[in-house]
Amino acid sequence: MSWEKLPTLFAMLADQARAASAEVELVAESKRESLFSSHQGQLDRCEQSEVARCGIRAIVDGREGYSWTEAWDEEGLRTACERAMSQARSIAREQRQDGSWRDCEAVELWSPLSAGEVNGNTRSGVQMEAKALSVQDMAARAVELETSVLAVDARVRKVPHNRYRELRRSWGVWNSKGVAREFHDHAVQIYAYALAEQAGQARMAGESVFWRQTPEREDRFAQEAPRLARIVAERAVAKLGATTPATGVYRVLIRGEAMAGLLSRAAAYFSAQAVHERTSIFSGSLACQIACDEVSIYDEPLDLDAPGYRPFDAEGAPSQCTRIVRAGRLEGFLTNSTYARRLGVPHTRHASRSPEGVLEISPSNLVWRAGQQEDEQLHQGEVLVITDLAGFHSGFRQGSGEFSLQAEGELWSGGEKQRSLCNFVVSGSIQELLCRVIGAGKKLSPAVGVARAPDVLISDLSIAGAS
Amino acid sequence: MGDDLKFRVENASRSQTRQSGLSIATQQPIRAAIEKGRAAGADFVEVFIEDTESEEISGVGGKASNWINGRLRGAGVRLLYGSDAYYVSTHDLSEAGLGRAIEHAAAAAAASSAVKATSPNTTHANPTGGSSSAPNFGSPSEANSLSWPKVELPRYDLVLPPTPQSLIGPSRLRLLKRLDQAARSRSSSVTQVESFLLWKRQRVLIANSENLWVEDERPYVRVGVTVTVEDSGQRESAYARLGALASAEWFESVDMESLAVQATERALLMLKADYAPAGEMPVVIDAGFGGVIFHEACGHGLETTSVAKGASVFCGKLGEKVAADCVTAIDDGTLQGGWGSLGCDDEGRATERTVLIENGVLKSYMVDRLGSLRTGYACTGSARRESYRFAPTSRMRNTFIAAGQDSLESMIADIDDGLYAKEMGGGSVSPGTGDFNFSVVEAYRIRRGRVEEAVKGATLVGRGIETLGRITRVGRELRLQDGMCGSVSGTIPAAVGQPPITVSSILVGGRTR
Repeated sequence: MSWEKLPTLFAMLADQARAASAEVELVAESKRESLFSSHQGQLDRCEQSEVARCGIRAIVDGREGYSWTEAWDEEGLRTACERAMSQARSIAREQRQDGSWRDCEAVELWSPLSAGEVNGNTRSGVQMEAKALSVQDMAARAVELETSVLAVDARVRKVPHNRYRELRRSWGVWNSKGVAREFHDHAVQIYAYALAEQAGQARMAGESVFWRQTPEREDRFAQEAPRLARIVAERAVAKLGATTPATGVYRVLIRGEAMAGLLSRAAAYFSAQAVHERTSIFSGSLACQIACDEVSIYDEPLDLDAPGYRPFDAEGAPSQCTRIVRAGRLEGFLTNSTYARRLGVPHTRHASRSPEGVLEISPSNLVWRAGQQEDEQLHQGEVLVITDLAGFHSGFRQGSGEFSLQAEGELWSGGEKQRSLCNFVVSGSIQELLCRVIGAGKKLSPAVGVARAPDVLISDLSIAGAS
Repeated sequence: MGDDLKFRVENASRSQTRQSGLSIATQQPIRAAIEKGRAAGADFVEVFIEDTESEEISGVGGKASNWINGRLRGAGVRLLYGSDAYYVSTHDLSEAGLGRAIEHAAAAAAASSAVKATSPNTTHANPTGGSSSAPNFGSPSEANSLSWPKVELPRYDLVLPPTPQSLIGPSRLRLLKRLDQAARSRSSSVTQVESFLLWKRQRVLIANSENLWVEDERPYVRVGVTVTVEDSGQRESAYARLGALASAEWFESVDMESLAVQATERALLMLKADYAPAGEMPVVIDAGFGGVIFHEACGHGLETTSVAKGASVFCGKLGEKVAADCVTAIDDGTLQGGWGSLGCDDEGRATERTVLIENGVLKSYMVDRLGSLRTGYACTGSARRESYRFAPTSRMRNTFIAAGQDSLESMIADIDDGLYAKEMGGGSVSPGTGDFNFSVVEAYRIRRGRVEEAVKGATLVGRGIETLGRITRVGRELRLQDGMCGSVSGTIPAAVGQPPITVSSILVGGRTR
């Protein structure tokens, strides 16, 4: 079934839902992805995938149920809709039986008319009509990327992970209250991890570059591939000879990409749902100072260069930039229509949902605002620079905001790099870190997860290394 | 060693994967696709078809907050030309859809040939010392002689069941409430209880140009609870999870109360705990999920996915001493009811028990077909993938260190100043450098041979081979636990396990005073 038939099929679902006194929302995604990687100058991995998924959210008696399917036909969608409605009814029945019905606020679909929009029907976003590359060209680019990395320095022996990836994606939301939005995207991602070896030691460094292809934008491969190759090769080589630092408390400069990784893990704390459910470390901190004056954080969904760009959220509400922390003060949380209503706070249009998932709240492009300091200022005195952090999924404790993460980095003194560092652990908490910021660099990192950040200087953090 | 395994839930159903009684696709489209692939010059053609239903109910505060089910259905086709692989996935299971997927894969192969012609290096070097011309997959057959058994298979029409049907069932909503009540009755400091029930039935069909036609059904069930506690402005959370290869009836056998209490007690313990010390010290890692140390420190480096590229610290070390004498490590896909067990792997090969390290000597890698073609080592039934959207690669199944002779008590009594890691969290590794990390979710100081106060925030880091060489004692009680493992072919169920072990020195990332 083609994408163009979805509006008609959705009209059928809306009729089906209305006949059952229900409301319905459809999130659909169709994507074609091509992946190529190279090993020793020839294609190592060549994968192409087509995915087409529809996710249905049905609301019956103010309770919601979800179902998703890869069967893009009338029967498949009808069945999924029936299942979603059945689940909503089961939840409603259960709540009536156990007496919790009144405690649970009713869920509603977002309506463009209630939000003051005259017409919610929009075909928007980036049109994926940029010129398509042939399979042969994409394969050649993967090989070229690997070859470029190996050519930078003879100590780079392998590029064990590298990729040229093209993604063409259509994404849309329709609901029975008048939302009908879709957006079409064409993106390219390249990445490479260089493995440098010397004197029996192996060190690795990687980097990823993302861009969107549009008819108006020039293809960036020719400029980005050599730049990426040089960066990862030089970083890997710079790590050779790394040793473990002594255990102690250090002034720490966290490089933008490592900081962005940490900020991505903390993103969930800015969700109004987490605040409501008391799982955010910032519950009860609205309008409070949670960080130093130097810290400002906002979400910018409309940055076309960010992987998380979205012209509208998963309820179909048009996206907008949202300020979260301003000069250290917590100014607001990210909301969807449900939690904006429950908490009585502004609707920031941050609903997120994949067709296979349930409605949640998430940022699309969280930005730690760049600071004013030059590199020389950030490296003054004795500074332990953290270039890489690993193990976020296990070493970051979501409940408390505390972290204990494997790191790599460099020791700097008097504005000069003294040596490279590896195999140590940095420990602290998000709350402590935000309150110990003493400087930030002028440049933002590329996106890591859903976040970008500058180099951030922290007055003191605990480092576990050699005894 | 399999008979010695002890699972966490004694009453859990021990059902093994089994051959599905219902074929999920008819032969004709698959036969046509394979013939088309062979006609395009491929040495080997494989069609993987998947039909997976899943359902998850999650709750907050004992109330069901989200209930979602879905059906994933599609195919992946793979063409091999020598040791080059081309993979295309599609959700279109018609003969035309599979045919298009084959055409795309063949076009990619042709494009690759054109790229090769301009590349200075046009062969996959074998960095492992294996013989890349030696793998034996049985007798290859010609496309026109495909000889699948001529049996009438029940026709599966690829349309969803006509009536809505709950897989976990509305009656099990009460289980979320039981988890919530058990946690809150344990302590008034509990401020939130989040829980989930997950049911998934993955049915796969693998057919290839070597006359293979095999189907497998893998029913997964899992339950989990996360408890948040607060006291005097401090907040902690902890989780407990259980999973099995079983049907939905398994949920009734789980002791929900003890699961919730386990998570609650751990969160309360961490609320009072001081930070773990920082620096190198001896660590006793307890049985069960402690096995994540082997999984991260060594397991990923033993997959031919990285070995074939020379991107593993274990590359070329077969037959060499890579660990202490007391270490024997096994990856076993045949354990009855094991979370990572399979009837067949995702290339259709019977899964098996693979001894990776025996008394410290590296005996085998985990090998899939492509890894076998590139390294020359025999396949070990280790090809796995999350779904049809991923090409298969060599992955772990149920991976564990075999039981030794020591008691946990004597291992602790031996240590003057160190750490007892009672329960581990997850971890990660860079196979190319061997650097690994994993977190400890419940830990205690050891002083003068005694377990003393609880500490929080410990992360253990090291390098695979170094750490293997520092395992000095291995305990008697082997336990396995379920986990999810993410890698190049997606996120898959994989069990880890071990008896208690002593690592004589490892870097503990806690806090300095």
